[in-house]
Amino acid sequence: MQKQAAEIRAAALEACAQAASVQELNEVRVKFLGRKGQLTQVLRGMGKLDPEERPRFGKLVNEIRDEIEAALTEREKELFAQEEERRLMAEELDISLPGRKRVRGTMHPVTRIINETKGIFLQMGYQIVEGPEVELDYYNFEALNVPADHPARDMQDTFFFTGELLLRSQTSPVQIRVMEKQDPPVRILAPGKVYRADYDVTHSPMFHQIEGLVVDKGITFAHLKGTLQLFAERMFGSETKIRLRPSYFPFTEPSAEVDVSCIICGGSGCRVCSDTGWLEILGCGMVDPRVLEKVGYDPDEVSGFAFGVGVERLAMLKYGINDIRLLFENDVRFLEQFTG
Amino acid sequence: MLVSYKWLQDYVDIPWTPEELADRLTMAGLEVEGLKPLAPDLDGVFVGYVEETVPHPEADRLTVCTVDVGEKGGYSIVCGAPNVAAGQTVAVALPGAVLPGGMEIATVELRGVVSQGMICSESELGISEDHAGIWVLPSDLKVGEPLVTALDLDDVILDVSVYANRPDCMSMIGIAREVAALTGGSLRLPSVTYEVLPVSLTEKTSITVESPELCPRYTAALLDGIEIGPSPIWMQMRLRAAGMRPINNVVDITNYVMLETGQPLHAFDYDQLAENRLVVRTAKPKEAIVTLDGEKRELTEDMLLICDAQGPKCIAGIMGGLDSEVTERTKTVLLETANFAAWSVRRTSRTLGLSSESSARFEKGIDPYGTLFASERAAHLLQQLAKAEVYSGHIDVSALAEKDVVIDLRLEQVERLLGITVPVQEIERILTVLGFGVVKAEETVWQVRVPTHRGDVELEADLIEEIIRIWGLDKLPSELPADTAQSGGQSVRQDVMDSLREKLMGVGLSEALSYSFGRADNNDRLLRPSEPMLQLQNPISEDLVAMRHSLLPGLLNAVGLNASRQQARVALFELGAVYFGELPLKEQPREEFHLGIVLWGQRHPLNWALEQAEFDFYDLKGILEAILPACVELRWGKGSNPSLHPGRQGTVEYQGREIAYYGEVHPAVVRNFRIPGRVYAAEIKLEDCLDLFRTVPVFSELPKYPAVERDLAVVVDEKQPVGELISSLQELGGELLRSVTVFDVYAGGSIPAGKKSVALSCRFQADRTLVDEEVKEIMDRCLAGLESRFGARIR
Ligand SMILES: [Zn+2]
Repeated sequence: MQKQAAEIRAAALEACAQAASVQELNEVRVKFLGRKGQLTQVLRGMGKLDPEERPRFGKLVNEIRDEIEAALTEREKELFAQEEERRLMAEELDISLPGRKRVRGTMHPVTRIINETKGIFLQMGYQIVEGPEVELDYYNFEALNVPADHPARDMQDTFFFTGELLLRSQTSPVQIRVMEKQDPPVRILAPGKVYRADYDVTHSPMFHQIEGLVVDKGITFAHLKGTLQLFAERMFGSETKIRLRPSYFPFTEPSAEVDVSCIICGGSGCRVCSDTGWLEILGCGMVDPRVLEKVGYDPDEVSGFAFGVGVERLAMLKYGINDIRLLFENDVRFLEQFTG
Repeated sequence: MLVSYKWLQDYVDIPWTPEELADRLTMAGLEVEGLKPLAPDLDGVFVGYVEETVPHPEADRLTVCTVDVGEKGGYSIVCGAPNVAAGQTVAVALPGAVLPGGMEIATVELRGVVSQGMICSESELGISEDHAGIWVLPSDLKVGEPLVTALDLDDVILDVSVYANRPDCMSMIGIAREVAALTGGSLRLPSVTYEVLPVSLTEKTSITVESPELCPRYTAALLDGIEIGPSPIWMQMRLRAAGMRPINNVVDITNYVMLETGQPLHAFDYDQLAENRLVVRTAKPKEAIVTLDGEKRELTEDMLLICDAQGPKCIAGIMGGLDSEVTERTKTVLLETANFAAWSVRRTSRTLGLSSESSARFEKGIDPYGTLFASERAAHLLQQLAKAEVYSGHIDVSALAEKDVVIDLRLEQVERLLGITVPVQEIERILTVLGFGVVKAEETVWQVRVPTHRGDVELEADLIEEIIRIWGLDKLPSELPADTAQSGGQSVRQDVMDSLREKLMGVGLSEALSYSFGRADNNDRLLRPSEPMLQLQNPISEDLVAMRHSLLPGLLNAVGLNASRQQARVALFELGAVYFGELPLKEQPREEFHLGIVLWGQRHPLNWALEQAEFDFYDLKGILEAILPACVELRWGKGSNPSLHPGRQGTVEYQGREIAYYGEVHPAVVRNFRIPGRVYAAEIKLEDCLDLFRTVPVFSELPKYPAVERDLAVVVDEKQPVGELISSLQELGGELLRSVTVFDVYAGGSIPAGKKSVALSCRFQADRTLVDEEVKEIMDRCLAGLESRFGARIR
């Protein structure tokens, strides 16, 4: 009988391994372990054995039953996995097709530069302020130390409405408007539109400037340089160097032009920087004492610095745009490039 | 200002190469915009002497010349220029030379005659544009010498950009003074000595200044016995280097001294002046003058003139008259070195559209104390180079008040402004070499006397600028101002605009930027009442003249442009100001910020997984619903904006004010902007609803009990606004009916003509479990209400 049991075991394990589907496997289970199955039959014949052998034989048959049961379960898992694998392969998609398009709009490059700059200066405690675009001659020129007939008026072709009212040619009038209303300390950034009668590849009759002004006790030219160094590093990368060249603006004294190391070639010289390694990006200086006096500040008590950045110039440099007019044409193929 | 590297060395030693000099000047505030050799490489070009010329036997226009090239020997050269003649000193390119245009010179045969080189014109040598004939050189040049050596062409020209406040640097001496400050060297002034006749010029002429406010100073000298001729080649070459044309020795010297000193000079032919005297006055009514360039100029009464006893001879500071110019016959010259009011010269120059090297200098304002020096320098050169005999003395009419500007300079102030300590010796050295008088008043205070050529320096801060400019801005450390208690921030409007921009990009719109000014008829093009817009006095184009009342024209232009460029989808927004003022404009106009939106073309970009369809009205309304806060009571009503389709537009009201209009753009407007197809647009007046966007949402407890949903389909009249059905349902349903959502609207098919079917989903919610009976009761009430109010039929 023991031999018979061993044969059943071998046959069952073989049948289990051969089963090609879950259904076949069920048939194997019924054939060997079912109520009328082979192993059950052997157990029923146990009465023929010596009583003292019965427990040993019973144990053996149970072990065989467990073994077959385990093999069946194992095989069932295998077969299920195989079948699922087949089903999934039948569901395969063409993943080379593009996704269902989601459109996110883009921010205008001018706004991007303004927002980036705002972010840098907000961290340094600057207030972002605005002023009118249609300005009085007084704020655009007179209070900035540019009286009538001053040669500096020729530097800017200003749009006029009347003798007194004009489109501001710079964001500097905001300096005056803020200082008139507020006592030092002043720490402001004024982005906005400005206008000059000029139109070519690098000049647009409307463009944007960002004006910065800091007035307090003990403000120095070295503070201005440090502030602009930080700005240049944040805007163009930590490797960026700046250099100051003396310049002339009627409302700052001393005045300087600020160059950054060329962001295209890193300073070795290229077409963009005309082989100088430097790119002019802004004008700055220490606020002229006459300007401070005009707004009722005492130049012996406080000092200040101011700077003005051309936003389009930065955008053109940063994004490699070669014609300023593209910025105001609103061709969607242009606008939609400024993603991310 | 074009500056010759070699000429500059007349006045200052330069230890630097031209490139180094350019760099130093740039870093001292005299930006060198360009650097180029005076003349191109001219290897193989020599000074030659034309010994003999014979006509070419085979060609009328050619001449066969025998040319002596000194040690190089004699050459036979065939020349095509009409002005070649025996006895001329010329520039000869010998075989092997390569001229600037790329022409290689070789021995060639021209119609049977051998030619061993070429006699050159100025343009062939790259010296000027002149190609009328060969360049005839002065006869005192050494034959056989390389041309570059003979003419001192081995020079570099620096193009220096001079700021408006530094007219003193519109001169060689001015630039040299800066260089001296930079090198630590000293300035050498040119010679001004000459012999004088025992007769004073006052016996020969007189000067009357009738408009001293326009002519603060008029200095005159009188020179006799002048021999007009060409100026020496070195002077001619220097004038060319500075971009001026040589004319004759007298004119050249006036130009040369102007370049040298920055003081414009004018030479009158004394014998052509009625009564041999000058009057400085403004123009009389209807006066005119023919200027040197041959043009007749009509003058106005504010223009300053230099006249003789009869009429105008010169427009002061700008250009001389044709009939008193120095000619070959001139013997006696009345030499003007004057000072004219900068604004007057600028205005006259603008009005006449006439400018010159002279006016360019006067306009910036020059040193009124420089007239005498320039006059003496010119007299020196005229004596040396034109054999002039100089009458003794000057006539010097001056209305100048003695001006002595002395500024206290405090060392502590230098440090306070710069944030760095500049050595005391450097401060003194820099100011002294720039021409300032420096006297120590106390241990750390100087009294600084400003030289008359530095009218731009008025304050202590100006002196500090001079010091750091020369000492070097690169020496400044980089520091940051101390932190303040103040934290950064921006206005409510800026916050609102930033957040709106993010929302709009999120719903697929890109940001556009248009000009704030547009066509004057833009209101008409929008079919709006033609309210006049603010107009520029001096626009650059008809299309950019009137300050916008609306963002729509800019956005519609953008649609038109993109449509014409074959784009399929335009979805744009713009945030910007519009401008309203009472005309005629007396005060600053109102600047109000608006948001504009425009949709045109395909709703989605072309994509295999998306249905292709055009934008419609509900895309636009959906965008507005998405960007306007849902937690605030807004009234969405019908609109009557003339720019929009009368049956497809709406408005949004907030606190009783219309804050937005939106809809399909009126087809007539669409045509005006040359756009194919339908356009949808909206404009929001942000200024009127900033607080709307600042509304903080309030949390409401999540329901603990399940909701009950009931769908409902009714057939109503085709024209019946669904919005009225919804608000009726909300009213009829009471507080248990939490929301009503339209999920289908259709007509046609089984629906009778003139009717439409509307499917609505109603959601009931309470703080307990709802029972079917009470929901059914409410639904029955709602249906009965819709039936009686709108004749709705249940499906
Ligand atoms: Zn570069």
